[in-house]
Amino acid sequence: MLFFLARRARTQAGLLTAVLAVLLLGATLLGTCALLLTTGQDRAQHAALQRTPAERLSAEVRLTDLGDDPAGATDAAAAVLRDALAPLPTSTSTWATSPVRDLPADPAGTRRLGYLADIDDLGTQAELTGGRWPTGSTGRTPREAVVPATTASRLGLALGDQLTLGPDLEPTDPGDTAPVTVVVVGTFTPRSGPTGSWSRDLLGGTGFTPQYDYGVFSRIQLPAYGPFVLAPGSLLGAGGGVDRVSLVAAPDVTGASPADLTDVRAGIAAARPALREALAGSDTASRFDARLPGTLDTIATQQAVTGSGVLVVALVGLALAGSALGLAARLSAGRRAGELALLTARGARRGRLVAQAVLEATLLALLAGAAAVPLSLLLFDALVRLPRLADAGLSGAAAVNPPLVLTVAAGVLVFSAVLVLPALRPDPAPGRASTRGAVVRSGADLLLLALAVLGWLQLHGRPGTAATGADPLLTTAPVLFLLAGAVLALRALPLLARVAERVARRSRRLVVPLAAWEVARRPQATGVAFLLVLATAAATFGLAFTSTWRSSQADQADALAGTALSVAAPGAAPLTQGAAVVAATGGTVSPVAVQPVSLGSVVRTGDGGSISLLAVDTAQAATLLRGRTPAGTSWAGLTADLAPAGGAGDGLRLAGPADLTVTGRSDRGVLTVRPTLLVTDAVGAQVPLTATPVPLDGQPHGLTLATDDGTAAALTRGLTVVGAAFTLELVDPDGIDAESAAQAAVTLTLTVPGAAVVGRPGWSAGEPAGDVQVLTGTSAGVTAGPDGAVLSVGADLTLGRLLLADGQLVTTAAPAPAVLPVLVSADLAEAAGAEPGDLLAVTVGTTPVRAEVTGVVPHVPSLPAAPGLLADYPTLAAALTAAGRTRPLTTGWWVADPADPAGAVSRLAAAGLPGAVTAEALTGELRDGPLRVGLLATVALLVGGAGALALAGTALHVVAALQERSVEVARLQGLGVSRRALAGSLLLEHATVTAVAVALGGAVGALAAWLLAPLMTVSADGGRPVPDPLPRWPWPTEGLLLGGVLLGCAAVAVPVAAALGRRAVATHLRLGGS
Amino acid sequence: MTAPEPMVVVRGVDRTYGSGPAAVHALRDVSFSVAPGELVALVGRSGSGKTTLLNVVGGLDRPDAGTVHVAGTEVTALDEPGLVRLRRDVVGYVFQTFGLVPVLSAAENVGVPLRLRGLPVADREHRVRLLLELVGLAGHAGQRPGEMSGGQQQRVAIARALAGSPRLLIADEPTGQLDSETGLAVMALIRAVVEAEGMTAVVSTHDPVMMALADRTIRVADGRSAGA
Repeated sequence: MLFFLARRARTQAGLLTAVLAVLLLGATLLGTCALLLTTGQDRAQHAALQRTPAERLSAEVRLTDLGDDPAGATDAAAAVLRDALAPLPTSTSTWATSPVRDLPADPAGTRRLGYLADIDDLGTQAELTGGRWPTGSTGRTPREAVVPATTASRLGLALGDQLTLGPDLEPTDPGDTAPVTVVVVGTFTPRSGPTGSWSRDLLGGTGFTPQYDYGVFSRIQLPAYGPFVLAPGSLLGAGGGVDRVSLVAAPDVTGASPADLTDVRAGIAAARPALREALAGSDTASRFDARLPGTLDTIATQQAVTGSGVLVVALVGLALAGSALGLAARLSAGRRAGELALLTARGARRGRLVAQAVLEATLLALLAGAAAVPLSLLLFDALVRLPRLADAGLSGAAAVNPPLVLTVAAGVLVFSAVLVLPALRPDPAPGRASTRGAVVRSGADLLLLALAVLGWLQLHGRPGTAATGADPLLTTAPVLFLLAGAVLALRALPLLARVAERVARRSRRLVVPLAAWEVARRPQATGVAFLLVLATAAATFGLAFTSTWRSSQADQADALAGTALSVAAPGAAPLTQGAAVVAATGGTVSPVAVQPVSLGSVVRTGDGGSISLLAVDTAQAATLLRGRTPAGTSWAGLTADLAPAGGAGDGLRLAGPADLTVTGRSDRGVLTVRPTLLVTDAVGAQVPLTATPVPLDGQPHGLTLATDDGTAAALTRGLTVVGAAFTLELVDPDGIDAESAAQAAVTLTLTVPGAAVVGRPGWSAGEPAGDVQVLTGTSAGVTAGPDGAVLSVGADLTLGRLLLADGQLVTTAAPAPAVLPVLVSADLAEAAGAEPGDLLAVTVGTTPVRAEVTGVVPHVPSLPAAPGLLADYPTLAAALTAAGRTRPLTTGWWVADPADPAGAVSRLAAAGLPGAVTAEALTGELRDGPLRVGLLATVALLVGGAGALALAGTALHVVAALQERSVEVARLQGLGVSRRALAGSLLLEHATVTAVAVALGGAVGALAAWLLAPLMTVSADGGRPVPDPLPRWPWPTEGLLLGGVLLGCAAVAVPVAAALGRRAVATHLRLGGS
Repeated sequence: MTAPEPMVVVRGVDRTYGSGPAAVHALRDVSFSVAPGELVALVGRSGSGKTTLLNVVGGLDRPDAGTVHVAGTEVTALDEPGLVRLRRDVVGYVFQTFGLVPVLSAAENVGVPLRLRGLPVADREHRVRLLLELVGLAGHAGQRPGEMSGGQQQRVAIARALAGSPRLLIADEPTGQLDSETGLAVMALIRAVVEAEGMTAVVSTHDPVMMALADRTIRVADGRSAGA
């Protein structure tokens, strides 16, 4: 049998080579998919971890109630952390903080607070700005300490100064009762640590706050300073005097293998009980948090999406290769029909013939399998060198692994079974061969269609939750759809045949009818047609899916970013931040406020999302806001009604530095007033400036204004006073009866030298709503004079009620809005039952505001997956001010159209505004991050593989036609048909089948893309993306693809057709087809 | 009265396949002529060169030496378009193994030469009907070669060869695939058509019964002709 196969292989080398090539293509495609799913995914995970910020990999233990052995508890917790993160090398930062203690009062007698800290890696967390780091042992007095530069500046501390921190104000341990004297040996400024370390500091690394919430109910607000950082180990080793300890462990994932990460997961899962056990016997309370498992879960979810895509390619590749091999098997069976008949006539049994076929198929499969393994490695290497994949860190040579070998082996096994199938089929019945094909005749195509529709319905109706592991629905639905579409398309062939028959019957000539008859009546055309339809459908679907997916990532990035560039507003220097953002970005800047809100009793919606309010300058909405809006709308149109009152920018415009004064008068009582001015900068950000209280004695008092962080406010040209809040207090409450209705007429005058009055002269004035109404008859107005502007306010104050509440008179240049117009996100509207025109009771932070719904939007920019409200920033500021809230409002800055977004991020960081996010960078991460870019490789594999298999199948079909019809062609020439006519007829036949198949395949692929691509596009966490994806059809690329397939098939057919006519007629006639 | 010009004149034709020691001298200095209206049988064993000679006469092959004239035209001097015209307008060919296009019906096969001439559809269908009636297959017009017997296929081939009203009919072993009774019937049909249409026919055969129906026999042996 082997001898026979070898001899036959010599004479049919071309045919067997073509079959081997198709086997090799299919096996290589499968092998490459296996590598993408294994080596590729491992690399993607590794690259993603490398890019993950350290704070998303860290684990933290927080200890409180440490008793008299904080060091012991800390060591035990550190050991638990180390074990949890083994075998990864880990660096741990230990941060101990004392309870707050009294500092010496300031010259005015104001109480001040301070605290100690023990940071074991202070050199990493901070930068020394003067002096040296502290050294010393626990028992030494005074203890050496370094302080933040801000603390030293505010306390007037110089190097060498000593300061005593009083006993713990609420001592729980003996160690807490003794005062601690420190000597300042150095100053530092905090660094932005990789793990957000300074969030562990009581003051967040600012060094000072004028209003530290102190007391049992945190109702006492006192200025606080610190930390006073002692030498490492000094506080912990003192045995007491420690309020809390934070240990943060940052694992090094650089060399982490998948097995290491699995061990770490297990270690983290066991950490909480281990921590409880380690601290058993003490009263120490502990809390363990680890972000690495969540990060790994997020990575795994994204990998599942990519993995599903690879599986789709593998299954489609299997179907394509199978159909190409099926075509090859039928063609070779046709070629060997005479040989088979001879062997059967000579007594060869069916079993022997089948065994022969199996042996041949097995030998071919072994050859293909052996070659496919190294070819898969080469193809994988080439794919991961594609620019986007290489940039994502996926490049590098791969090694043979068991999944690769097993996949190739399984693939060639399936393929060899396809090759053997013709030998197992019974002899065809005499008569005309059907062009419909067995699948169509059996109705299996309708079954496939039913399954595909079912898959689509399930995909359409599945909830938008994250997937774990490869999603079988995501994998099978597109494969079923493409297969069903390709098989159903074959039903069009009989229609084509009928048209062809009609053309032939009515024609006077031969070339076109001959081609038409061949198309209509040769059953082999069905095989190559199916292959071309499926290949074209798969390739067009792949390209359209990629386009849809990439477009959706951009939409998701826009929705997530909300704007072109956004940066959080740090607490420092609020008056100059706006200008710094403008200078660094060169774009149009808007202040932004994001505030947590509640609606009546609705604090969170049903799916657990907390509600946020976003306020931006809606006058710039057209360019500022990003994110897809409903068809026919724009953000400019949607936000047009959010700023009804006007008056933004009205106020007292400063001409430069000025000495503001306040003159207050009261006809009764001894009162003081604490002014808070609300100023806006050039970009409209509102900043509260507080002043110390001044007496209402009829004398002008100069105001020393400070920002919320206590820094003296530098009034500059361009600032505008847009409002003020005057808080009136009784100096001497003795003699004042709380029940008394006696009133005092109060007038206050704020003089702003050099300022110009912008807008209307009549300001709004009132007292914010509260339980006790202290003020009535409020009034406000501005006058402009040669020396500047004067704001005058007045009110009647019920003295007795001042004993119950502060009297706060608020005045604003812009009219206080009766209601705050808001846009509501769709999910919030549904949860709250809100519709346009409805009024809502909104609590912004702790400030109640009445809001009116002006419209419902799919989502609020930058809050795509959360319920939210969108308001106009100036209008919100006016509404909150009128409600008595004067705390800083701006939480960030949004920039429209920044020049050079990437450069702007760097410039902002250099200007003290780190962490800027651009929509461009987000889009890049969502599209080309290491966990997402693998889809690009799979589509490239699908398109390339489909094209190669289609051309291979076409080549097989055309060559087989050459061999099968060589005698027929010779005879037609003998009848007087020219070579040119014969070549033309063959080309026309081939072109008709190709064109129809490619057109049908393009239609099937387009339909699949339209129906499935949006459903298959998921968000970064595997859930339903916001906004919903829209199907995209990349016309130029698809045109190139379809044209390329047609040209490729023509490139195969033309030389064959030309060769057919050139072959010696006589030779074929003489040999009679043998 | 002068004798009419021969329909076929073959002079000193040589044809060799291959080269060197493996060369096959299919024809060696073959010369003969065929008068108009004559039915000539080329006889010889298999491999004697009959098919090669017929191919050379019909313009399907070129001799290495010698000349061939058909209907006064030097076939050996014709270019490819000329040969196409010869095969289309002058010569009708009946191939050894029927030579029908398997996907075409009997009527469609017969219609091929008529399509080459661009006949109007109605005229073509009429002529096809007549030809099928002539060969006794009027009821099999829609059948394909795979649905017909060998004899029926050969008769369709004859009808196709006659469709273009050729002046010279070349038939290569027309009865080689048939049983004797069917073969005799086919040969008789050729005889009748030749006489009725006044065409010239050159038929290769190695069946003595067929030879008896021919006007003249030319023996071909080892590439050489005798009895010309």
